[in-house]
Amino acid sequence: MNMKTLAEHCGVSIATVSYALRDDKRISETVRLHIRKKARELGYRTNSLGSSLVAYRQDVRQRPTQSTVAVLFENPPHARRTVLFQPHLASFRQSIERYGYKVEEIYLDNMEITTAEFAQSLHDKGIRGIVLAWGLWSTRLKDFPWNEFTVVSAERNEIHPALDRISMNHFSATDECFLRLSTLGAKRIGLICHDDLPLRVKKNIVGAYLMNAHSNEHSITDIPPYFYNLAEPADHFAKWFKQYRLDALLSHRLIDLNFFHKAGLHFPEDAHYAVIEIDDDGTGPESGVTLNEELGRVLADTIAGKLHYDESVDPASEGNLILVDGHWKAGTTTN
Amino acid sequence: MGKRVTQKSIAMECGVSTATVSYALRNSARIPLKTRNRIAAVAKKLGYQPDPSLASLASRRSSKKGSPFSASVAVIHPNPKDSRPSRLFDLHCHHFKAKMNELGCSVTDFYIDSGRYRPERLAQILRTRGIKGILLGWGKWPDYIKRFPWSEFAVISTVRTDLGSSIDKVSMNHFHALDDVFQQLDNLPYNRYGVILHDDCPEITIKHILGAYYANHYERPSLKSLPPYCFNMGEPPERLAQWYQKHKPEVIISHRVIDPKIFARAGISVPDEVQLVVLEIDEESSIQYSGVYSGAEMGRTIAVSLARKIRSDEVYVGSRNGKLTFVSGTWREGETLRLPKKNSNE
Repeated sequence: MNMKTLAEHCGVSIATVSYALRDDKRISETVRLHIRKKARELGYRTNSLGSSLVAYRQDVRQRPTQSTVAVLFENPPHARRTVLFQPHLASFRQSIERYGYKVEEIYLDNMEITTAEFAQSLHDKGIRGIVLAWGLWSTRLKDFPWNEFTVVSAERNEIHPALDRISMNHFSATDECFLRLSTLGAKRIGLICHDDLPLRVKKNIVGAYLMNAHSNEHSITDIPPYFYNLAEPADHFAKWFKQYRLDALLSHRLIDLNFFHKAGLHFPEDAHYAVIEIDDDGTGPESGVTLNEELGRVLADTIAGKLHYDESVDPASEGNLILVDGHWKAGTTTN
Repeated sequence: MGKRVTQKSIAMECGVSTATVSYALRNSARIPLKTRNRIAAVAKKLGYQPDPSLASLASRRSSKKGSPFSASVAVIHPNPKDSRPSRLFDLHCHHFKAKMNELGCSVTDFYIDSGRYRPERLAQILRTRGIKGILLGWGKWPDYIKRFPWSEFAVISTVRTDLGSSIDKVSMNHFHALDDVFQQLDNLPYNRYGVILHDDCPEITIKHILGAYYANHYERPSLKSLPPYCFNMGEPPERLAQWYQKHKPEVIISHRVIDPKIFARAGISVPDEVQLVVLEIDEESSIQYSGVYSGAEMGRTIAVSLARKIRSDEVYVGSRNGKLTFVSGTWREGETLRLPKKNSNE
């Protein structure tokens, strides 16, 4: 299927098709809409690699435009997950620029167009690559034509099984933190997680935690993980901590240390404390595992590599999971 | 607005050919480091902006004409061609090569058993052949291979091979495979699952299997978790028999295929008394095991990972932490697990 066959189907010239697909005003709106509709029906897609070459022709005055990768956000800029993603976006931007791409951030929360129109708007901008940022993803993109794009997701979400996902290696980070706390002499290590963590992440953290608890005959295996709600008062947690007489605490993400102070806990005096995924700039007092620039860098390498080989999403096959290891950072919450 | 800065304008400014500029900007070892740095500095000064679309198109151009491939890669096998590890790796290697060719890369095998090459000599051969990427095969690696300049090449290995922290790894996702197995078993009336691990597999794999085992038990409080059994190749059946008698699992989840004779001699009758599921199957066998098969996906994923790594090495200099890519296998129902008869109304 190329422009020529599309032109034959529509009974117009190739030039008309070309103008119409670029939404050029030289063609009347009725004809433009007709040709676009026909193109969709026949499954015609512009080869954006080819389009990018056109701008290099000597008779074309338009300068080549810089290739763009879109970063999609489900939630608005001030939402917690969008904010948490900012350090990774910064390192992604820096890395992807070295490949010659620029970045366009797109927020989907107040978008009122259909997925087909949204996909078309990306095509119109010549965007082939999409990065899905952190967010509480709805089913908004359920019917999105993934196969028309090259896509990498920055977390283990369930948006579409064919998408490649990149994530921190939560299993190895939990393993490392547990080992560090054990080496410090901790015997009764508790686990606390936010109650909204993605299902797969939860399973990996809980699995790595229980695996370690079981691996030593003398370890305690009857401490249930504690699931924490961002707005809850500290007394429920304090009760859990006392009941199991913990001497160390492992947290998935950073939790305001005031929460623990309210529960009567100070680290490291009352217990050792380590964070599995330190997700800010890492300048706080917490000990734990931090990703620094790795996630953004691997995101950039992966999407640039996929674009280079023109690998668009294959809806029939399952996407890969790429895991990035963090580094241990010794803070002051462990001795 | 001025004219776009092209590689040609950089070449003119530097007094070198466009080919030299092209190699230098891709950080190719063919160009002396000093020249590479000089050309990079001029490119920066002129405001050169690489166009990834052009790079992508160019990488595919030559293969269409039928002329040489865009990149060459090597598979290095530590053991002879007919050794057990090399034969086990064959399936993955086959799919790896097919996908590599699809991506426009040619593949050459190197067997380095019995000290055939010194590491320095091997590196020299690979450089001369213009090989940019390496896949590490299965088997026992000689100690001296540590001297090989790994950082000069884009290298991918499976988790079985551990030669350096900068090497990217591809592995079957054992955690996910076990999730699949538990989901299959949810339909069956069994509550006691015993897991068999193999002592020759990497520690990280054992950890993932155990982690998934406990995480799935945590989600299903009605199940009773049993202590795992660690199997050594070639051991007599007594210890296995003891474990089986003591814990009486109704389902055995074995990481890899174990010779059925060993089960028989340990008094374990599959599937009459106990059901058997295998977590990672990548070999031909006369028995149709129920379990997770790795299939073609592993080799293909290694190929795309290596191809991408070659590309990123053109853009970045300096080593990075290795990353791990997981591949999901496919559940297949065999004859070692009896599923309940399907309801005829469905």
